[in-house]
Amino acid sequence: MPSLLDSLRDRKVRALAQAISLSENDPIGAAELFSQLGPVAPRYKIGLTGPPGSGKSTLIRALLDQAVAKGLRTGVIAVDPSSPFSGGALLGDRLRMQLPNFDPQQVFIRSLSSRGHLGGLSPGILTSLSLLEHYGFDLILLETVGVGQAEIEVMYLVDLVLVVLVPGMGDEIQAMKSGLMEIADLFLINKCRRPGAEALMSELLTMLASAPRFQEEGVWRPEIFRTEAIDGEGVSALFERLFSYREDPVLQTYLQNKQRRRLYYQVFQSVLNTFRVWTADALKPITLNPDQAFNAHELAQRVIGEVCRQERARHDAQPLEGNIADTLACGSASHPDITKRDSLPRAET
Amino acid sequence: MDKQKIRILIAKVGLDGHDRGAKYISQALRDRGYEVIYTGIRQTTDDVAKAAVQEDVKFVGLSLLSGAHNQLFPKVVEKLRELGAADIVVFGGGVIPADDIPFLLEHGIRAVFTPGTTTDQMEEFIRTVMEESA
Repeated sequence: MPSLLDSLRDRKVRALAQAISLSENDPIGAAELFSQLGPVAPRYKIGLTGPPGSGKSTLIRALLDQAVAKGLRTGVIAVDPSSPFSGGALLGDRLRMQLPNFDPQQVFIRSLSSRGHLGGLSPGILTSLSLLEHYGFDLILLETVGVGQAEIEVMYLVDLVLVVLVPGMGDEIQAMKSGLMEIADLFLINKCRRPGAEALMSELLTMLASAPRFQEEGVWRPEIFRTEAIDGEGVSALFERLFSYREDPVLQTYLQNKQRRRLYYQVFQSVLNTFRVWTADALKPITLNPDQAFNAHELAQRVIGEVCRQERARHDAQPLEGNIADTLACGSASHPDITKRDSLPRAET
Repeated sequence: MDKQKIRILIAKVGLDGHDRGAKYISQALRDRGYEVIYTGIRQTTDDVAKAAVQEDVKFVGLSLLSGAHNQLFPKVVEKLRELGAADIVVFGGGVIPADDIPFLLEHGIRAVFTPGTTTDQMEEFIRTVMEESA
């Protein structure tokens, strides 16, 4: 039996699927195992987010149609919410996006449950995305759960964020709020033949025209597209725009800057996740008695001390080479730049 | 095993649009803590097997009320085998005459659930299979 790592290097679909499961079930163990695959050139990643029922999955199907016609290989991860009561989930995104008689080497779709994670994605998402990059997809699409206003984690994981909106979801005050509306790199007014599409368009234009951060020279300002994803209207224009950044210096600079911020956040999240697991392990053997007066902060300090002591012992057994600044500097130098990549095909115009 | 980590694909194969049962089962399993992927209606046997592999499920549940189960159910088993995924457990349900059940069991369908089956019985089946493979 070849190992999972070998099968991944041979680009076996089943191995990729199993590796993603491992990332979901054991995020830290998987991150350690798959780091043996070595560094990988980042692939072009697009995130789709927006309220439930706005048409994110249907839009992905329309984008897949375009990608297949152009011979691009696409990996999709679609996240749906887990139940706060049973922990289970009904994952229904594939239902809308799977093309009939698809080639599983060219189109890979994976549905994930958020498993209680609150940012609109799932706990193993970082590793899962990097597995898709290793597999070598030309394009990676990430669909969040149907979001409300504050689930913005997707902006730290992808190159461009598409916020998918539909007419008739509220008045212009909704467009003025913070959060979701601020993370868009592109706005999409889907179901654009419905009444209210014009009003939504003018609300978005007003919002963009008044935000100070978009007024400076040479700043990327979100564009607004209109689509009717169910029959593909407006989708080819969107698809071409997604692949036109080589000709657009503003967008190119924007993507580069974003990539730097993203790396910082991913490291930060990874540290938090690791600590979350260590802490849960450290707390397991402790029974807290509610009758006994205790100070949560004081107990937390003791748990942190214990976790650090255990990890120090583990690290002393396998010492890291060099100091942390050297390690990080060398990590960022070997991290290639998406806009200088040759592997990304150009969309036909 | 953590139930959340048990993934189940519920699929409708062939030209049968009666999906009340498939949707009910999907929800019932969700409410019992499983992760369920529902394919929607009118899927080919090939597409169901490919989806099962990409979704890395432990079980595929096929629902059919049109009478084509003897043709379609074994094809899903066969296709999974071709894809190197013979370990994925296939079960079926729907309007299936008692006389057809032995044929389906011989052709790799691990269990067949007919009208009147309770969700408890189905969960018992899942638990038994998981214990066997542990």
